[in-house]
Amino acid sequence: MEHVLLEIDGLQIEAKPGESVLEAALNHSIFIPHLCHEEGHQEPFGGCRLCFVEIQGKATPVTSCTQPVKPGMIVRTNTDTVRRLQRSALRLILSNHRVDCVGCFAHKRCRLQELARALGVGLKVSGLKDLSLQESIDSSLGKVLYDRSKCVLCGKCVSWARTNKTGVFQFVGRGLATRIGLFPFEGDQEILEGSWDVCPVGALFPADAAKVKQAPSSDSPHDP
Amino acid sequence: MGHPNDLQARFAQIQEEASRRWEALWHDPRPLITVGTATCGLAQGAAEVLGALRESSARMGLEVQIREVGCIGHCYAEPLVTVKMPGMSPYLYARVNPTKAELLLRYLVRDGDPFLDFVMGALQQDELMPPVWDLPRFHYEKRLILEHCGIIDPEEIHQYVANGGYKAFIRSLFLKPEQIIGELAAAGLRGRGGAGFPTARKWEICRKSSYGVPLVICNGDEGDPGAYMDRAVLESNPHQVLEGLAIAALAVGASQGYVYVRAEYPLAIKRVRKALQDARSVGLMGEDILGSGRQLDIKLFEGSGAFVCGEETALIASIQGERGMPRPRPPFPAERGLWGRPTLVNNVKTLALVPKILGNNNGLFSGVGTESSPGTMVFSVVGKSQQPGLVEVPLGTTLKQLVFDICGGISGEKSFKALQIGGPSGGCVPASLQETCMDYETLQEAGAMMGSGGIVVLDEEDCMVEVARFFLEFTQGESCGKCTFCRLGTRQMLELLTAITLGKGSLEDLELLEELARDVKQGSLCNLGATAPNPVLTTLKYFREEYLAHVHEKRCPARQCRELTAYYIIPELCAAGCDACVGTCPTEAIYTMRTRKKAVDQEKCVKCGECVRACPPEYKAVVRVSPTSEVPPPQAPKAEKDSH
Repeated sequence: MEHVLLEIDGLQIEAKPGESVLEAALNHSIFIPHLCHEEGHQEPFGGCRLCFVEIQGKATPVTSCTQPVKPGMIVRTNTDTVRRLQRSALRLILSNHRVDCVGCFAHKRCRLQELARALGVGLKVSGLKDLSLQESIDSSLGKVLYDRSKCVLCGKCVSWARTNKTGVFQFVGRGLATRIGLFPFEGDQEILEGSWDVCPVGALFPADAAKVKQAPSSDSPHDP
Repeated sequence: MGHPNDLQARFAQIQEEASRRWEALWHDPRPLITVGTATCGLAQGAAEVLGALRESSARMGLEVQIREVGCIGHCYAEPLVTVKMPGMSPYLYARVNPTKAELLLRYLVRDGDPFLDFVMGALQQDELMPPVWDLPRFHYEKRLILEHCGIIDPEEIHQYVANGGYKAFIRSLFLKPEQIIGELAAAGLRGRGGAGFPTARKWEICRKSSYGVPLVICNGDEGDPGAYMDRAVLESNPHQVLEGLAIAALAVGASQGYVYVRAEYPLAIKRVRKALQDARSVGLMGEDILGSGRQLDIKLFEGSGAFVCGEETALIASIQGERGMPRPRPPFPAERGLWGRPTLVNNVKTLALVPKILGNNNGLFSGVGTESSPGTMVFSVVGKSQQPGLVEVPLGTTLKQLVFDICGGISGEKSFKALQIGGPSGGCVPASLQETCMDYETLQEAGAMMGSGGIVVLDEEDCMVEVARFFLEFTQGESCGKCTFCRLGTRQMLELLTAITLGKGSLEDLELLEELARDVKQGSLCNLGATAPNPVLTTLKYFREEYLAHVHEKRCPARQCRELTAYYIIPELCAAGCDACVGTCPTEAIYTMRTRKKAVDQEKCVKCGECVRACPPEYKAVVRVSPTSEVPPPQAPKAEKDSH
């Protein structure tokens, strides 16, 4: 199949037809912040609002996960407007995330830590109202636990459930009360073990990791 | 298509039958009484009126026909009753209650006295009574969508057919899709549900999509606070909407479709369901429409009442049995939507206009409105309006005409402050811009938008910060939670607005509010989020000084924000010895001073406002002041207990 030639940040890039701008950039080691993107997924979720880029000819920044590559496209990933929107989105996400890194299952491989570093945003957000919740763990599935106060609603677990033909994770609620609902799972319990790996922020984690989590977090660099 | 003549003959048969019934209705020797029983009428007691009419006429032994009709748009005058006596013009009676209903039967029906005391006007040229269209409202109005609303029985397909219904559909059966779309394009119809996208272009995209056989959907998921025109149209004349949907199906090549109505509209659901059944049973829908070989299967879908489902991709998700969450566009549903097939989603009012355009009398539509926004629009006017209700006017009518000439101005002795246009997605336009024309572009330039046509009239007692806060509270609560800016951005904005109305806002908060508004507008996934900041942005643009007064002086200029206002009894106006306010105070905050006049104990006052209402109008001694520091320290100590 013919390649699509486009330009990202001044670099000429060969992309596969049908690929999104985000995928094309990532495949060529150009980093565009992203959170809800799933590799190889046909229909982008488009919920995290981090992967903004500017495309010549478009008046406002667009999310790169929803833009299919087109020949001759000129993309810029590092403009002021793009960064402003990305920081704003990340700050909003963090204002609703219980930052408790040291005790966290995802510590040091957490996507939020990575994004905060990349965008120069502090994990403890100032200015915005703290909308984070108290730790609230749903253990109704037994094997895998869900901590709503960490969840960023990227939808990856919902998509995982769909791929595995279960409805075990579903969005429920509206507005700020939107969360992941855990529904009874009657299939092979082994399958559930894969679920925590898809969570980028440690909101899903194995029940036996809970002990680690409950350890005192006195040396957390992020907690006040 | 097999036998065009056969088709026309079959439709002519339906028309004849319909006309026969319609004539019989009006030439019946028995008086004909109709009651407007759309939801707006029912809320004002139309069901009781209907019951009283039935019960009393039976008791009096009067032979009458009593029928239900929809909403005529004059909601301020509900319940509305029309009485047609044999040999007389039909008269429209306003604000009828069960007692008046009985009087109507007694004087008019039994004794033949037209009972002019509360008649609104005649519905035909008449010698005794001026016709209703001499009233300013009818005079300015141009009824295309509402033409038959409140006149015909919405549950009788024959009444719609007798009034020209389904003629445009039959005509369209003989047209090529390109011709239908061409006529629509020539008329310049634009979507009446929000952004005003050219309807013909949407139909064209859908027709040409390569993703399979198209589907059509009527979007009746109206949910803006204060907007109820789609409900009224579906309740008052569902067939006009179905006819538009049927024509749309012909144009895009669909044979299946849905009418999506929210479950909170039970009457609309009932009437649409009945309309669908009737259209099917006379052969205008279903398999092999009147022997034409065409088929059209329309189903009713009850939405579960999520505001976001008015967004077309969320609406489609919900029909598919999924959670109502928007997905990124493109692909636009017209290209690829429900079940992966091209899906045409049009608003109720847009579809209701289609038969008017395809009905061979195109001039009706494009003869009114402006060049870029032709035709009419139904607005629901609510709030501090003298005569709230539904109004259908040509686009391009000015705000001033709408508020003052058509709806009778502002209620009470208050001054006009602003209009909130377009619901939670729209914005506030100040009274100083009342010469603004209502068309898509001009409203957008002013920062508002047509939206679905909801208009809230605001007066001097409405705090603009509170108005913005109210709408933000609505949108953040209705966010589907999918995207960051809508779920969290609007919530952060709400927190800031709430702080400002509590007098806890700072200048930095105001800056942050503006930044967030800009980011939410630019960064949201769907239009629910992207338009949510509009009420904030427009009030900041036109009423910035009100925000600053809240922030700097802790003062609410409209004296509405509870934390920033206090009740105060002006001693000079208070009448010594009058006790009117004392008994109404739920917290015993009002005490008697040595002068035997009253004063408010600010510590005890809960600011319910009962004392303002209780104070006799000849004194008007109780006032709201803002900031609270405006209340002078108590002038005299409390009266001694023994002074009584």
